[in-house]
Amino acid sequence: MNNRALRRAGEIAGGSSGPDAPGRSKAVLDEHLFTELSRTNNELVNLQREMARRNAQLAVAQRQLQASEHRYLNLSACSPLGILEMDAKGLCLYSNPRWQADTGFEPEESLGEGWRRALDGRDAPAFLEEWKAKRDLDEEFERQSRLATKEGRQRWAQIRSRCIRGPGGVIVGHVFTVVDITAGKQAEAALEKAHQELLEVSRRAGMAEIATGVLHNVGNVLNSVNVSANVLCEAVRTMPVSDLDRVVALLLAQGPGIGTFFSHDPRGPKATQFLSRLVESFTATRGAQLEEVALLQKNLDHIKDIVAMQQSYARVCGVTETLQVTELVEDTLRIHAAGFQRHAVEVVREFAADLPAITTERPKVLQILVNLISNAKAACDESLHDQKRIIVRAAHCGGKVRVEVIDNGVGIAPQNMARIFNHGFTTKKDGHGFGLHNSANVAKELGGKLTAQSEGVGKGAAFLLELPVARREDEKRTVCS
Amino acid sequence: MDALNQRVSEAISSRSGALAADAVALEFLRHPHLEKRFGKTVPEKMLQDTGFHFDYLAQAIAAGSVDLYLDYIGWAKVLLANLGVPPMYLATTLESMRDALRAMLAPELSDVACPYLEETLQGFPQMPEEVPSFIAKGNPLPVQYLQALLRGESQAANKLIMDAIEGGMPVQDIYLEVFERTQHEIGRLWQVNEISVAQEHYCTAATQQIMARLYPHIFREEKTRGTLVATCVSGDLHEVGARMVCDFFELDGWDTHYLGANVPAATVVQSLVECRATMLAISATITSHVRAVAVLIALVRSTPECEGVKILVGGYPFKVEPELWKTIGADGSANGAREAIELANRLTHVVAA
Repeated sequence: MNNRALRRAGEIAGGSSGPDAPGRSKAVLDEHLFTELSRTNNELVNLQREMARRNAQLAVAQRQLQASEHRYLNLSACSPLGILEMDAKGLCLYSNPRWQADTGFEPEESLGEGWRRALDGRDAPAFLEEWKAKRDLDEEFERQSRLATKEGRQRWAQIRSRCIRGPGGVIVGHVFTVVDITAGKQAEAALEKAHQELLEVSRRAGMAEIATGVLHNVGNVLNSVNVSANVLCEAVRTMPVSDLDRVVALLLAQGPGIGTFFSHDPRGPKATQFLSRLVESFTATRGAQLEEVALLQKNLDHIKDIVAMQQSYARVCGVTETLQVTELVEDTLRIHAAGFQRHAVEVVREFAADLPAITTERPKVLQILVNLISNAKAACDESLHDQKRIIVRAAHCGGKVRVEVIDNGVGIAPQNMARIFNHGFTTKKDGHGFGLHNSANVAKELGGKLTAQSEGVGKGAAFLLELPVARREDEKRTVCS
Repeated sequence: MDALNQRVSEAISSRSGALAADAVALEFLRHPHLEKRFGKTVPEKMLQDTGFHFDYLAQAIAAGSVDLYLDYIGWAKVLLANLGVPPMYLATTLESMRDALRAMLAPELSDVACPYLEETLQGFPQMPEEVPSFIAKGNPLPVQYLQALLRGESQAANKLIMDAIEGGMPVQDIYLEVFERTQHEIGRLWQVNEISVAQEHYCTAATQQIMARLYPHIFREEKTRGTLVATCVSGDLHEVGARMVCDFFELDGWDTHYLGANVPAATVVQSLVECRATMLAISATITSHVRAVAVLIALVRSTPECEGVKILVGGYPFKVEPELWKTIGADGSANGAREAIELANRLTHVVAA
């Protein structure tokens, strides 16, 4: 590749060998012409080379573009999401197969404003209004909406939208992704229904527990009523009524001669003495009977009060009122009073002096407390402790009122601590596992919480109910019976 | 590059006209028949040609390579022999040049230069007067191809190549076995006075056009190697070799940018930066351009953005003097396209395909 050297050498050869050297004169003659031609040819070939290089780059770019497009089409076709491509004005340019499958729309039916027909009429106005607002603010849009398929079926979808930017950041369109959440929505509704049913069952179970306590108490009072009634009955049964009948018959038999009977007949004074003793007897038993009747009336009043309280708790829910938690504690203890007495359970009250009032739903708190006290009593019953004791402590701490129900009963095994609030979990032979689960739910519903502590089996347990002092702003006030 | 050699080289270059005149005068004294033939007026061409001898000597000294000068004189000897000029004339010209140098240059300078001529004179008798063909007899394709070109039938030559490609011959083999060999052979034929300048230029141009038709086969691979910028510091008539090397790199998976010939050094550096090149290939066809290669390399090395760019050099002077690349700061030199790729991939830690 030493052309220049060749040419120079050619000149040298020619020059050295004189004008007669073969080939020299022609070579020198044509040199300039050929040099120019060669230069032009070189430039041409260089241009061809560069063109080929750029063509190759273009071909590579085209292949990449084709691969990219193929990938895009595959992704779009196989996407588990519905995809819509919009122009800047919100007119649909493209919909992917999933969208078509979810809505039943043919590809051309979604084009332009066609896609809007897939929006359920109930949601479409709000959907479009919110999307427009988000577009104007250049924000990402996300909303759950109902879709109406072409066949008239209703679907739920999670729809998101983001803008597509072109050169210079200008918004040139929008892309929608549509996730069918119908199954999730159905499951959610079923779950909510089940939850409500469970709450209702639990609530009823809780109320039944209260009713059980109430009836238990009423039964105790009815014992006293029965005793009083028996006493009165026996008193009436043992009254000397037959003797009085005979004396009255004797006196009626005297007719007009009744005066002579008392003055001359020897039975006259005896009859007088009998009546005198009878009066003494009646006078003597009347006081006791009156006392028994008074006791009977008192017990009947007690029953009336208990029933009235039960009715007051059972009939109303959803209404908040401001009250002292100690009132509810006392009500609860009253319900269980007979049981405490019968099972020799000592109840200790430790109420802080400065307890603030709480604003809450009375029946629900009572429901929790009845459950806690009932459990505490049962735990004490199960234990073989000589001094069964339940401490009910109420205190104010950090914007909350805390009620602690502490027993020295059988305690809770460590492995059960984690699931003690689970639905259906119980350690009682005849338990249903609703009580604590429901109580915890209700506590949460009231803005508070219910927790348990125990150092283990045989070491008693403590249940801590915390309730907020302030009423929740978003509290619903509904009344149901 | 050696400083004393540079001084000697520059001294000869700057006085080549006067040195040539003295040497030719000495030649006339050595060969009285020359005066009889040309009279007292020394032929301009003879002065010019002797001036070329001094220029090549200056370049060889600058490169510190006697071999370069030996190669040049050996080549001239073949040329002269085929033009019917007895080799004795060239030998005596070398003696006259030596005497002129001794007379004109300071001793410390002529002491450097004259051994080049002495050594050349010493090896002169052994220099062959013939150059064997570059085309092996058992390989029909380059023979047919060359014959078609020499007949002026570029379409026929093109068909031979396209048929070979369709027959499954790799482009690389076409380049090495056909184009490179026929280019060498064309040079040899011109050197031995069997073809004219016109034929040589025609063949070269036709080959370049046929190469261009192969570009669709070359520029299609995915780029998996580095980025090569290639340039030729020699005149643009000598681009074909550099371009062939560039095409080989392209085939090997490199992204190549061929800048052409005589590109200013600053433009080469700019291209390296813009292309984020990992490799620079510089072709120098004649010895006098080695200095320009050195200047370009120095500029690349002093440009921070080009840090890490490997530099390959190639071409006639580097082929004749295998260690020359070290003296100008390159990372290596290669004799041929395939060797260049192997070296480039080794330098960039890429395993050759």
